Amino acid sequence: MEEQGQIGEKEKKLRNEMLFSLSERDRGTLAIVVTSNEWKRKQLHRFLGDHLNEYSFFDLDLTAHSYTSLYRALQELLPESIRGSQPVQYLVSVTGLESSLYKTEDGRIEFSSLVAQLNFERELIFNQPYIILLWISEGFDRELQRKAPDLMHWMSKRFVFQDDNPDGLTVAEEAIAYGSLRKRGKIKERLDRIAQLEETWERLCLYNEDKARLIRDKINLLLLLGKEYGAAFDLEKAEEALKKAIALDARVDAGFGGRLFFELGRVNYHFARYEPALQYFLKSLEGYIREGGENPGSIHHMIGMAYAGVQKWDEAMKSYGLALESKINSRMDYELASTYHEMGIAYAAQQKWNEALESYRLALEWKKKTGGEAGLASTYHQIGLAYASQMKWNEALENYRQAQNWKRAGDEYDLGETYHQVGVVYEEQRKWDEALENYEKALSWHGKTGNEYAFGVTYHQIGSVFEGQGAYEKALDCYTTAVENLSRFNHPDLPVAQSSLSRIRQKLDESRSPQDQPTP
Amino acid sequence: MPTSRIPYTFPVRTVREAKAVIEPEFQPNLFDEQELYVNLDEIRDRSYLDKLYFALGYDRETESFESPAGCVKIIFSGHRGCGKSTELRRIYSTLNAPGRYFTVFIDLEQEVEVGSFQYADFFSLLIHKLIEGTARNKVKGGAGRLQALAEKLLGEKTEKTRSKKKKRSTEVEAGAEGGFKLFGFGGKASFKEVFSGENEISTTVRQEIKQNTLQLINELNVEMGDTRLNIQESGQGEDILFIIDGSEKIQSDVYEELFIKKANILSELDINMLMAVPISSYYQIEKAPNNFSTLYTVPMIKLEKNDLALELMKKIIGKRIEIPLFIEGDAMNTCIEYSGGCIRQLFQVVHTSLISSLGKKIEMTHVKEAIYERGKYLWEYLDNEHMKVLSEENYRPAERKVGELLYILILLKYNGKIKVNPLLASYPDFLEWKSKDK
Repeated sequence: MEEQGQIGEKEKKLRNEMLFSLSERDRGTLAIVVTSNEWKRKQLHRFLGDHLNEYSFFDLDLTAHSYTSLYRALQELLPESIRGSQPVQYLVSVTGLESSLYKTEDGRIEFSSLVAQLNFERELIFNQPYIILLWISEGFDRELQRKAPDLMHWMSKRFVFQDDNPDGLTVAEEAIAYGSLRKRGKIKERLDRIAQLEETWERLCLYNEDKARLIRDKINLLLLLGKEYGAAFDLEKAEEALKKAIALDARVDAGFGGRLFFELGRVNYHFARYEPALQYFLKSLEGYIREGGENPGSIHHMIGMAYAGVQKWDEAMKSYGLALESKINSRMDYELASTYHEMGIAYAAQQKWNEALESYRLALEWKKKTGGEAGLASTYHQIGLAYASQMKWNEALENYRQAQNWKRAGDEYDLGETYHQVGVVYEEQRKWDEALENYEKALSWHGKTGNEYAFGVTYHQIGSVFEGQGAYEKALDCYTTAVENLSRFNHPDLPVAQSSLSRIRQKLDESRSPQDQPTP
Repeated sequence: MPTSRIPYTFPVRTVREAKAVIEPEFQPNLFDEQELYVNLDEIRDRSYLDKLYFALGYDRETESFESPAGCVKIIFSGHRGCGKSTELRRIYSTLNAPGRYFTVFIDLEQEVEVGSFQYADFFSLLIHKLIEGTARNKVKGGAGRLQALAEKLLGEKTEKTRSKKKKRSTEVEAGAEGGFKLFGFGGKASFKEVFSGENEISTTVRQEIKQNTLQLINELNVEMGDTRLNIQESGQGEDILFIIDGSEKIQSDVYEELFIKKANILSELDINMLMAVPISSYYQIEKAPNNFSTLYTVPMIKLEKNDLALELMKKIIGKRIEIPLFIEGDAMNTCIEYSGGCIRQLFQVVHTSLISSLGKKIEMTHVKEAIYERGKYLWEYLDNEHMKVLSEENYRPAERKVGELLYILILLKYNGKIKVNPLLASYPDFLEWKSKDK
């Protein structure tokens, strides 16, 4: 609609022809739409959606799948309600079949057998009770012309939308070169960056003679999108982007497998999904070694963290050991500290306080030696936690203060969590006002730094303070907010918050005097 | 799969219906009570058909039949969309009669998953379809004999398959449970299901056929003799004829194996067969050492200086849509002219013109747009080798690139002459290239 004024006469005509040929059908069919990029596809998809009101649209994105048969993909992925529908109620919009178009043969990217198979499937595809709208690139179209002559000879609905704009590869190159945002959290810069990456993805040409470069750019863009969505707490979109990238890489063996699985593992780890994270890290290690990588220290480190997440301490320690060994062998001293830091956490979780403190000490030492002062704050924070767990409140507060002092401008992401822990120390000592003050500061920093994931836990603790003070109504509000927030992320602390909410409701019920009860 | 469709009353009079019934993909039954079929005998060179019927022992003039002395194997070809399948259906209707043939029509596209169809499956399919045909027509003893043949030939392997099935429950349920019932009418699994991929049954049957092909052929021939007698005694035919259509999409290595490399095996079969092949493989078969004695092509309809041809082509469209409502007279004639005598191409041009007119009455301008679009599509297909062939204008059908151009319908074969598709011949870039080339 909004585009109607901006498009040329030729495209207007083609759009109308497409509408006319797809409207008021009593038989299913296959229509092919050739576009140069996702942006044009989305524009046309909206246009069809606005006008073909007689059909229900179903979008089938095959980017993350590998199929050599469109018919099989439809049979396996469409719901029975569509496969068994009366003709014609549905329009199935199929995108991403492009990613099954290639395979690697002797190191070269070749076309797969998909196109030849489409030729064989002509009758099956045409005889479905729904309209199949297959969105393809110019290159795919050319392959169909050459290798699926039978299909194309029966084809009467092929719409080619040519685009004179640049091919999008240059734009993609710039976007990729920019890399990832250093700052964490769901901040404005990140949301802008995501929008920019999404737009670049849409504008990226769907076909280029330089297949290898195009696929590499696609994977890189998806990898960046996956990272940014993960950092913005959108696990679903992060996984979607990374899985698409993995599917592309698997088809052409582009050599990204190790990195992609690593990112997928990291995203899952940050959402406390330790089991899948572990599996992805193990695949990452496998891919990294297969691709000839020699310094798998970071992957062993993450495998250790995932094992720690599922409380398999021996395996965790073994992996941390491998990580240290690899980092030392490859002279990556600046990365040793992070592994010592994680070892400290693992020991602390097992209440092996001496070992924990020794590991933290080594972490601090290596951070100072290798210019990693920016990371001192997180280790002081952990030392504070270790003391707090032993109810050594003064030592805990002292280390939390150190952590706060080492926060640098622009790197305050964890500051909210430190204030939160200070709040916990005061709460444990029933110093309600100090506790509340620090929890409020924590909330404020969570907000400033876009740390949405941490809100729920802090709200829960504020509720806990109010409960301790007997202010049940206020506690109810805070627990409710906490449950709402934690539910969004399926946070591991959600059951605790739910239990608190249920308890406070019971307390409120019990505290009501009999005359307050409604009469039956 | 739901297939319920609103039946059309031809010729249709609404835009919605017109759009639907002239789509190339629309395949109505041409021979039902609405009689969409148009007899083109008068405008096609029918001499090939007379020869074909003669080879099969049938005299069209006297309608008499005499079973041929030996079993004939006929290769039948033609451009995609020239009406080959329709012709085969007609031959089937003519010859499938008690005093003539007990005819088994096999449409490969319907019967098999063409993508996974293998050379050996051809023989399984023949047995399967004959058992099915004799059972359906209640030929006394017919199905039993062939069923026994299937079990006799493959019984040993069946036992192995069954014993393996006990250990592994995840194999194709229908195929394994059905055992050799798949060769008979009423088997639980269809031929298509069983042979659409690799499973215990398909693998076993394929291996057996590949390893013991000649033995299978000999035994099949013996049983075929008995089956023929049964058919004669039940008064359902004097002989057996297989008509096989839909091989256009079979992978080239499969039909090469079937019709070229191992054509001698096919010729050993005591069965009359009429087999359609893609036009590009027709010439390979023709020059192969084990060639078939009889090969025919369905020629394109010559339109030049042929008013009757124009009239009948118009009738094909007129049977489906009320022409005066949808197409101007001169526009219709131009559509026919640019069809090149290929019926499916005619539908393509008319359909593209209707889309271009957005349902309004088709005028010359819409037809021109359609011709341009279709011409452009053909032009974009051409590579340098194709251009060389077109430049030299020496169209030797047995040449690979010429075969390709015939297959893709850039070249059209008429009786004795090969010409460039008029859609391409009128495309501006082609014309420009042609003038420079000269």
